[in-house]
Amino acid sequence: MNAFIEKLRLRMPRPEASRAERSSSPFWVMVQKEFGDHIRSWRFIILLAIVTLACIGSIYTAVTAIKEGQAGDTSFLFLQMFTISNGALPNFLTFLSFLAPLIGIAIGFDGVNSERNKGTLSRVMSQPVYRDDFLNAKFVAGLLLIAVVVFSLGFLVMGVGLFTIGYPPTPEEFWRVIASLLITVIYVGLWLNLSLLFSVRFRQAATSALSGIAIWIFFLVFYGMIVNLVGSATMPSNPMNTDAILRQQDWMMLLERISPAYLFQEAASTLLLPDTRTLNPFITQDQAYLAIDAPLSFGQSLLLVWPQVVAIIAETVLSFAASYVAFMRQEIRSRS
Amino acid sequence: MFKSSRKIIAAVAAAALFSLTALASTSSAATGVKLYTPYMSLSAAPGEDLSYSIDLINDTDSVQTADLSYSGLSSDWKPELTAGGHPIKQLSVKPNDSQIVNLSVQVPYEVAKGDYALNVNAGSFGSLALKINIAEQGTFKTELTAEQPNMQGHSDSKFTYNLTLSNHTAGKQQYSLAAEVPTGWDATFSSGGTNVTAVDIDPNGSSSITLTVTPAENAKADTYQIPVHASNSSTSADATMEAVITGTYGISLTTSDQRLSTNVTAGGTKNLELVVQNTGSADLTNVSLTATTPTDWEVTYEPKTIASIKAGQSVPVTATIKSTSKALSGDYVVGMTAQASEKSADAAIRVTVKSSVLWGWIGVLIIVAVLAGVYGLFRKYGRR
Repeated sequence: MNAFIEKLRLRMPRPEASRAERSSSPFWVMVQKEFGDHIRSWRFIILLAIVTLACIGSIYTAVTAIKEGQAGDTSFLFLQMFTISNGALPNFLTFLSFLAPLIGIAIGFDGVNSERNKGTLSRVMSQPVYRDDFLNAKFVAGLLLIAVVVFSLGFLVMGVGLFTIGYPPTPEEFWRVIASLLITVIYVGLWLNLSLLFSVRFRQAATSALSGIAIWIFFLVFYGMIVNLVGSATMPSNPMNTDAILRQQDWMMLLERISPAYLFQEAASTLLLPDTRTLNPFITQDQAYLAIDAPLSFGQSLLLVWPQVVAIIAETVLSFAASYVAFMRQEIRSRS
Repeated sequence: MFKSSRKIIAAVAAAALFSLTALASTSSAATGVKLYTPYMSLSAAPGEDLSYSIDLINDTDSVQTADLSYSGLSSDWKPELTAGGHPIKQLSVKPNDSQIVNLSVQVPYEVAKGDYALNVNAGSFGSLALKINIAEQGTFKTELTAEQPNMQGHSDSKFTYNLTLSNHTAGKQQYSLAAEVPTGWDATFSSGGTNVTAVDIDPNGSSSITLTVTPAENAKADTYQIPVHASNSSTSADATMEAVITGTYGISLTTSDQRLSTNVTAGGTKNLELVVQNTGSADLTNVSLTATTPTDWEVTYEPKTIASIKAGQSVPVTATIKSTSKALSGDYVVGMTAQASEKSADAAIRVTVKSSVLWGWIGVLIIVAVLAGVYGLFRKYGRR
């Protein structure tokens, strides 16, 4: 951060610069600096190594599964690179939904409090920059980094897929992958914002890291169990009462969808599995009668998961807003 | 005629004994000889073959020899005397024995009605006066007959008639063959396996001719008369074949642009232009349109029933498919059936259900609202 401040100083001797330049340029300088700091940090390299290893493992399992002929329907063979597994390792999508939040948490958890503790925050704030630029730069740099990582992994899978199965993706398959990678970026952005919020809220970096990881574990491991528990507790006593069972399942589904991890899994897997026609746990006999087992078009798949996508975007933006408000309300003192 | 072998031996011995004396007195032996045939007066039709069996009986003790001849008929009748399979002019009969002579007569085609006399002279045996009564006027013509002139079949089947053309004239004739078939039909003659347009027939000869009629594809159900002519400049023969086409019933149901897929918004309606066509050769009556739909879907037709469709004609129908709002997005099959009293046709329409975009826009609105909220925060806290 010290080098960054020097750089700011270099820029500052031009007070006559236009307002537009002053408002945008320092912000992008901060974003660049932040981005560079992350790229070079050991923390990020280790995380990236873990995630990449996991991805390579999932590619391997997908390729073996395809070679063993587990890909029953070959109409969307390329997409199966992301969703199929031979059982030894989880598939790419599962890995991504499990590990990608860690990238967000790791990038964000000490974003504000470490600067505050080191005293660099007050030094940056003493420069002629807008106060919120600091947090915005943290967020934008983190999101860019996440986008770079997620898209690299996604393209890695596509590349290896091209290389091993020798079967190019159709435009539709390509756009499906791009859309699901975009959703992944937004989803990881949600975790980045959450950890930024903790880093604003908690003075100790360790506390904020632990809070972030606690929420991560809660949603990815325990939340499903809790919902199951609630589900079995509220199961209608009469198993023949279809209406009651349907109503209870709807409620369970609603509960499940509170978890952003579940929303993400629904959204991404629907986009990558074109055969998915509904996200409801039950298809009634009425709905299934005379229905043909045929894949949906990309637009229809997107429309199907649009509520999920909207929810993820909204949650991301809201958590950013929360950290924004928390940050702006805080006092900034040197060595506070 | 048949005698025991003993009698034959005795007769031979007797003949050997008396032959020496018989040479001297042949004329006196005429009393013991006779000619005999059972059918003295026969009725016959022109062209018929008559055959007489004439016994020459020798009751004398000597061998009797006779010159055989006939008289009374013109050479048209082709009388012929045969014995033992050969034409015969002279015949001997052993004593106390008899011989048979066959007389065959062919009544000519061209003969007048009436009685004809035929005399068979057998020298010392005397003569026989035979009468032939021709009951009907003889003809001089060509005949064309069919084994089975009436046939029934569908419009896509072939009709094969076996004809026999007989030349009952005195000379060799060449006939040109023609069949008058309705427009669009095809008729071919064949004789001996090859297609022909004319045949040569010897006098009193006949030829078997095969007529193959291929009806037009869209031939209506009806009974068709097919006059057949075999003619040349001097003679001709006609016959009339009948082909009974039984109507085929055919119906097809498709869309006006042949596309069997469409899409519909969940809960929305879609109009589909259908075409009901009568592809058969008989009229269809009481065509009603029904549909097999997914649950809670509705298909209405305009018109719902068609009283009748003439062969080859088609009727446009508008189907309105109404989907339920609970339908899953994706493909459904809507089965449509056009049911006539005679036959029915199905069309399976693949209907792609698209979810309503309304909620998509509401989602966009939510995102815009949230972003506006953040912008408000920016305004409130940020740039002060």
